[in-house]
Amino acid sequence: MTTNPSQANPFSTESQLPKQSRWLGLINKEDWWTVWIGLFLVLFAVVLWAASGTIKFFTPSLDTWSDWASLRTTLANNVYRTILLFVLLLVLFTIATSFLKVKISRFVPGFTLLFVLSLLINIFSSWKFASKYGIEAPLVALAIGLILGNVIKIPAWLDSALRTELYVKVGIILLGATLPFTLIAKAGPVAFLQATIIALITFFVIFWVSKALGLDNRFAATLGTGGSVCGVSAAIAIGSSIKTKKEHVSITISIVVIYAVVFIFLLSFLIKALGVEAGPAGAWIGTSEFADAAGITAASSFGDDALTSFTLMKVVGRDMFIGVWSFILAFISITVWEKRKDGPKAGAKQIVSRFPKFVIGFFIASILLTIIIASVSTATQAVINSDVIAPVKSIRTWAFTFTFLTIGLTTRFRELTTVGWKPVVAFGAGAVVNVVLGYILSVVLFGHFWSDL
Amino acid sequence: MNKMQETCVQRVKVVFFHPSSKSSKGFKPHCLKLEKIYSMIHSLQKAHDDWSIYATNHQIVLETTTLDFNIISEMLEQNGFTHSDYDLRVEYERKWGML
Repeated sequence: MTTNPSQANPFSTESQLPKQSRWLGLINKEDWWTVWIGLFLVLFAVVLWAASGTIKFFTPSLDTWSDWASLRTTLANNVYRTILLFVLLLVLFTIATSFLKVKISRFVPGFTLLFVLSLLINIFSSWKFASKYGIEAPLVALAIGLILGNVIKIPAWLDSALRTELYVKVGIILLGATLPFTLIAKAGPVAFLQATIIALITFFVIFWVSKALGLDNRFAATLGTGGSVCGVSAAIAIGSSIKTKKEHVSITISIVVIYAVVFIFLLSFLIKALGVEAGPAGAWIGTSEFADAAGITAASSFGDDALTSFTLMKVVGRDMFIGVWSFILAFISITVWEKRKDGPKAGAKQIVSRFPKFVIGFFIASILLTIIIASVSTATQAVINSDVIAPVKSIRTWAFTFTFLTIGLTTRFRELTTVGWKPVVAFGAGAVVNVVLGYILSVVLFGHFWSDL
Repeated sequence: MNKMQETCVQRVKVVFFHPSSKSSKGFKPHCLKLEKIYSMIHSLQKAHDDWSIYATNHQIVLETTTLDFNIISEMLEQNGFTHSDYDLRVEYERKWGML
């Protein structure tokens, strides 16, 4: 709402101004909606189980197929489950995006097409030929998305349903429900130690190379956190807290997106070429990929163990600390770079306000299922594994498939900012150091730890 | 920079602390007289017509995504307002649903 003070003094009484509640963020921020949707799905699964039902009826389970006859059979067996899952997810995501001011008339057809494409990818991944020759469905989905996104113009109605962060964070919260909290507690300190060592070194490499090439402090710091903490999310958080110029944030985002997509293929290739096991492979990806969505895509190609170690490394070791990075860099920006004595100071409250909310959902989902499983008999644990955790994993796979496709469809190279060679070189220097250190720590030094999780 | 190739949206909030404010944690600019706040808002509206204005508990906020924060800062300084008179907050967002 816009009020024009030139018509009348709008402050003669405060009541004349529209009021905005401090709690509005709970329903108009995408990060919070990932929590609501993720936890709703987990609770829905638990409630159905408690009522002697199961959420399995919402999760299609495609058998491996090798010819048209076996494909027809498995599809026929899953028609109703597929429709139920589609309706469930459509309703949840439509509610969320309507609060985010996305037109329902655009989102519904867009999400429908995304769901159909994801169904095709899941059919492909259960094809005997694909598994026999190691054709990875996540990489195929990414490649298809990249080709479509860069060859044809994506219509606005489809674009409104392409929300990479929404899908990947819901998927990560669902992944939390499948991880015992004891595992998170066990791996957390190692993930934090490893991630912090590499994040600090990578940050300073990018920062100092940027400075040596003549880039300004804020640009250098934004590039540094983009390459060392959590990609685009970090560039946005740090750019906001230290007031980086818009064009520099825009350039950093473009560089992160390009490097992140290239690294999906590069890390997948290196892991296969070096014969790295799934656990350390996930930890390496968690250390060296910049973005959650890109890392999930790479780690998914190596199975559940890689997804687990990736998530522990990235979410617990890196993402959680973006608020701390924001506070420290804002403090340095004001006191060292600006040398400003008046005006606002760096507020420590941004450590809390910039804390990624989906991490809260990830922890709650894990703690909830851990408590439930610990409080029932062994026989009931088996039922929970089959009727709650397995179907939640299945829905997670769908959320990640939406992610793989949307990464490709939203990485439209012609729409990215034109970047000069200096930030590319600075970012690249940090990325190379990061990959080498990531290999040494994840595979050589802590390889056994990540293998034995 | 080519506008078509921007990858982020910059949301700027100019925050004034209302005189009725009883307390505020952290930074609290001078609780200005209403006339001074009105004068600043008038300057901002004269220079740019795309503002949302709203109140929170103890604050009056002007918000825009179409004027760069550096321009706002310079403009307020030229009109004799200092950093202590207001709080300028910047939040970036992805321009579209990329990773």
